[in-house]
Amino acid sequence: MEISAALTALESLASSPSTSSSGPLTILLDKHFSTARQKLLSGEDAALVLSDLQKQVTRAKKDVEKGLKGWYGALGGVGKAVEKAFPPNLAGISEAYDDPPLFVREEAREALDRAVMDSMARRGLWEAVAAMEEETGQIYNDEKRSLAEELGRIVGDMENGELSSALEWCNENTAFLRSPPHPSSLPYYLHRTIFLSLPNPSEAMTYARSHLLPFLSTHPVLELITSRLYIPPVSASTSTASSSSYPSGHNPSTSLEPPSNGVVDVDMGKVNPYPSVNGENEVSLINMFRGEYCRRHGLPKEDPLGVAVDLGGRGGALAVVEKARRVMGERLGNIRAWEELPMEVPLPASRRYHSVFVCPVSKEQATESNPPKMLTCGHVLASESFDRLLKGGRRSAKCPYCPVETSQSAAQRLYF
Amino acid sequence: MPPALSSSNPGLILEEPLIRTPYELLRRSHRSAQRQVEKDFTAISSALNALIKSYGGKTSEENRDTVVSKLDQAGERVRGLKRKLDDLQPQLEQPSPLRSRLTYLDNLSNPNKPADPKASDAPGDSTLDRYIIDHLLRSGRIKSADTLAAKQGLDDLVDVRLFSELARIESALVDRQSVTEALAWCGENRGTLKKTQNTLEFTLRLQEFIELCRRRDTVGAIAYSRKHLSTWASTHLVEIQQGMTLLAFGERTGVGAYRRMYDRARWMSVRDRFRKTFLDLYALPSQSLLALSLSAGLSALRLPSCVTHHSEKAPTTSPHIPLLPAAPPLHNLEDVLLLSPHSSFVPHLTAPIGGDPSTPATDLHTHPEAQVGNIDCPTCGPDVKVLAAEVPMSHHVNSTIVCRISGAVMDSDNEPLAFPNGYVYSAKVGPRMTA
Ligand SMILES: [Zn+2]
Ligand SMILES: [Zn+2]
Repeated sequence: MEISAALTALESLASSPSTSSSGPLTILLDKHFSTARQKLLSGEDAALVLSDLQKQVTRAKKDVEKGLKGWYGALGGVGKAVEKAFPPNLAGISEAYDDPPLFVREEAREALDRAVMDSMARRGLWEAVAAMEEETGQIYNDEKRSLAEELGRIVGDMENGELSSALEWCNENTAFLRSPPHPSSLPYYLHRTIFLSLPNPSEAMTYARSHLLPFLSTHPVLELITSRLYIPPVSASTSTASSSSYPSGHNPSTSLEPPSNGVVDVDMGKVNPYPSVNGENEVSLINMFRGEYCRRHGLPKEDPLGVAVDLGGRGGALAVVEKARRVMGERLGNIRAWEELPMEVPLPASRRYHSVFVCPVSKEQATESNPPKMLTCGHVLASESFDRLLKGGRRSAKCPYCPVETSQSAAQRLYF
Repeated sequence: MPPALSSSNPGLILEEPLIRTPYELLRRSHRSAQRQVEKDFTAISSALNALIKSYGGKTSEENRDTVVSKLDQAGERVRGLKRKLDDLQPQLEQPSPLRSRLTYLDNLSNPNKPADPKASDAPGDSTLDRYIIDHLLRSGRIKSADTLAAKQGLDDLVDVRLFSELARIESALVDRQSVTEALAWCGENRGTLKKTQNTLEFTLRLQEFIELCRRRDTVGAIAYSRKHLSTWASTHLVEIQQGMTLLAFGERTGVGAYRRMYDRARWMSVRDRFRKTFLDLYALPSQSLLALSLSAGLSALRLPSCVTHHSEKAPTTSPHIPLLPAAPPLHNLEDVLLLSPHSSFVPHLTAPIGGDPSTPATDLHTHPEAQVGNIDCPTCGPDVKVLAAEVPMSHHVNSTIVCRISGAVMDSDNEPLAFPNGYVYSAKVGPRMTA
């Protein structure tokens, strides 16, 4: 709202002729200077011509200054709108973190530089990584580099509708992809995508026989093959249409190597790289591949820096912290010495990486020294809360939430 | 009392400098425009006056060409001024940084707004890259910042030029111990500095005076103090008097107070003063947007169960903590649980990650108390955990139980089940575990 207002004010500033300071100069040049020149050349009295021009120069200066003044006044309008959209808050917020400033210890500075290089490498921004190597003196880890390059190359192929390099990767990692506890469906969905793209029905059936039947026990292969008899193949043109809706992180330009002819002996043509792999979960094949690749190599599936920055800024965490700081004021002391945030920052389920147990009695988070304990009835308390129920040397206590008694020895430590 | 946290969108709190900085630059461009107009018009007028004086009376054939060419020179000066004014003031046809940024933010905060066809090549949400660039610029890595900005098409959305100027002046202060560049900057912004009663210029002048004393150029130092320090006597008398005693004490003086003034490290504090003044003037915060957003984001995520970072200095034997693999999409899980032909298998929580076999010490079935990080958790990562170590833990008022096998948040549809060893799995995993 306020941003649009500022934009409107700025546009009227730029378009208004009354705020133009260079306009009078154009007139001075095109009219008065060229007239004076002609008069001089035709032999008119120089003294007269030049003092005439001098008068025009003085007038032009007044006009220019008037234009400047008008422009500055109009800029004030822009300023008011800017002030409303962004009142000066950030200086104060930033200052609260100044004692000591964030991430300035050498160890932290280097860790941050590595995290930044990781983030760039994940997105194939190798020129920027190279510039950082030069300016920080840190060399980007070779192993991480080759992993990021391989991932970038395969994802680039997939973005171009070319799945053979992804399939080849799956073949090289069959044991991993099959291993418990998380056997992967990635190979099935890759083959399925190719199968659905084959225009010739008999060719498709041949493909299904050799590549889909092995998944018979774990996936709805028969339904898939049957459905193929009634619906037309996925046309190649849809793949280009859908590619624009995906983040451009992995630039195809990083995939310079020719696609290798691996295991698939069928000409796959162009296939839609973004099928919905199942109805409820619109996971793209590319994201699925990226997930498996990262899992295989012990890499986080999302850029840690990107996740934290997004949560802190756009996700509103900084605003929540700032609100707490304002509401509770000085009592909280230096923000750089806080052990725990004074209030909760709401997190989406996708940003829950660990279990959190908050004791329903004490409202404290469980820790290693105050772990969760389950009572006989199944209710769970923090250990210290249970101990308080046992006061006076009693050997058992009644659950605060139901009538069941739990003896001291029966309370079970839980691991989430 | 700070102004209310306005901005209809609290997620835009860090975008304040994105808009305020180019606005401050526009305001300052007005001052330099005024100065430029004064300077150029004075030159044009005096050129014309000189012409009138020399040739006014006697315009002959031979000097007519001289007059015309001198007139043309004055005309060139007018043209130059016109160009400068056009550059300083945003035109409708040529986009200014402020306009590009307002348009960018406008699109960012209304993603459903019909796209402006003219802005079709406008960058999408490039927030992470903009913050990274801000961080690089502040730490003097101009080339890295410039490369990233060029590659991602963000030149209009970041302040490479402004920070290059900061880096140039700071490097003069620290590397060459020269205040000339910083003083020139003070001169360009004298009005604003005076209004905010900023005394950076005195700091610079005193440092230059100290350097004269270091060289034992007593005569030069006295002349310098008369010219540049005495004007500050009403506000900085004590410091000036302290400085003047350096005329008597050389760099190797045994008096601690004076030796401290000669300390080369004093240049670092001069640099800090300069940086603070520079950042304030252009409405830039003291710390990078990357650091501020990271600090808040990391503390929202950090939990006691995250892998902790032990500072290099602390002599602790930090145990190797295994990281669990990423939680897979649920359809994989169902394959395991409901369809897997290997019905006899029992999932092991530290099953091979990239081929690493689980050892008795890391197997959670025998050692459920073992601390295990989550590889997807930013604050558990090897580099980011170093950063997380200096931010507060998150605060929670309710429990959230995340299944360590499926990665799913447990709720009434997927209830937690406790096993005899105290381990808790989600109900959708549990039945299989007992098979
Ligand atoms: Zn109970
Ligand atoms: Zn963690």
